[in-house]
Amino acid sequence: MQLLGPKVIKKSLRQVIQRLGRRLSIQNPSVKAGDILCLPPELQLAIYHNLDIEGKRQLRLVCRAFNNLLALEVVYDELRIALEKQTIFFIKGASREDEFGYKPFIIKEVSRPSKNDSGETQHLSVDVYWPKFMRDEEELGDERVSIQMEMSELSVTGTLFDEDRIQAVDYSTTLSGKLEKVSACLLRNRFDCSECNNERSVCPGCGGFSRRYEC
Amino acid sequence: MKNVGESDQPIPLPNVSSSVLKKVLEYCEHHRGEPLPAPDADTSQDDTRKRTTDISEWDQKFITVDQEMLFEIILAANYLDIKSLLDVGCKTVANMIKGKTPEEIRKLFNIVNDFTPEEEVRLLALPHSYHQLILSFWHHQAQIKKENEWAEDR
Repeated sequence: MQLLGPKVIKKSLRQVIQRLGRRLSIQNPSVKAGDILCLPPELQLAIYHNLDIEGKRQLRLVCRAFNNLLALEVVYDELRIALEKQTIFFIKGASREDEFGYKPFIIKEVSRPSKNDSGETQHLSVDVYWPKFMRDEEELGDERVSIQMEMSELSVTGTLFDEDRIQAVDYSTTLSGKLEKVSACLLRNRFDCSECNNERSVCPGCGGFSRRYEC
Repeated sequence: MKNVGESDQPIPLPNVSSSVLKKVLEYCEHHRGEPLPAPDADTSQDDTRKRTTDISEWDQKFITVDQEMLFEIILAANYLDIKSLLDVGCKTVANMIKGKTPEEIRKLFNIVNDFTPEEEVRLLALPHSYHQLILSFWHHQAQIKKENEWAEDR
């Protein structure tokens, strides 16, 4: 049997520790007493809440510890902005593209990251709705849907309850795809503005559907 | 401390060093008699855009210490439940972070970048695309406003 030299063992051990570190997200190697990373998570979050959105985005990209702590918080804050601005989204590359692939929606409410028993944040719950003008005549009904956002950044994975289409598809259809904003021109191409029938010379503001068509 | 009542017995503070306690006492002495902040004011949720510049001149001078001391003051304020001092500490750190790139923040706090190159690429790509989405919408709103103003003028 060939014996391994101390250098080889040391190197292998270092590799194993590095790999384990990546997998278990152990503390950053630079951490020492009196460091920002030594602060308990609740204090790191207290600092985070004093930052503007750009600062929050940047802090998240500093290291794995901050990313793990702040990833969902940043998405939450981004979605709060989208809610305030009534940004219209759709799910790009949806798994059920035939039925829901292009279904624009506006965020109605975003609830805080929920925590599991071990205190880890799990997901955001986002209530969204379809403004009336985006739906077919016969499609009027409960316009609220519920999307559960998992930790995976901008991709949306969740269950879309569409009571209007119970007969057409399953009661619950799992969707996964990327959350994208619907551009105004795409919106105009797809839907008629009921104020001006897309005659921009009559209604130059018809790109601003979302502000006027609240449910 | 309220629970302890009046006593001649020493109160152990194992998590606070004497130099930090001295600073904390200096802060408390200066702010003696001031009203306490509203209890359980939830600062974590909707108040995320609150200004971080509203630190008084005295507090700013007081908190101008090295990083190690700053973080120890934050920890002590948390341990001793001195909300206003904790707030000053957190705002100071937030001010240090503001306007800096991740690399500059790493340098500032001596943090090692422990992302793998693949992770870094993924993380950099995703928020950027989202950032663009938000910005493009703001631009769009501005465009609508401009067009409406133009229509009104006509």
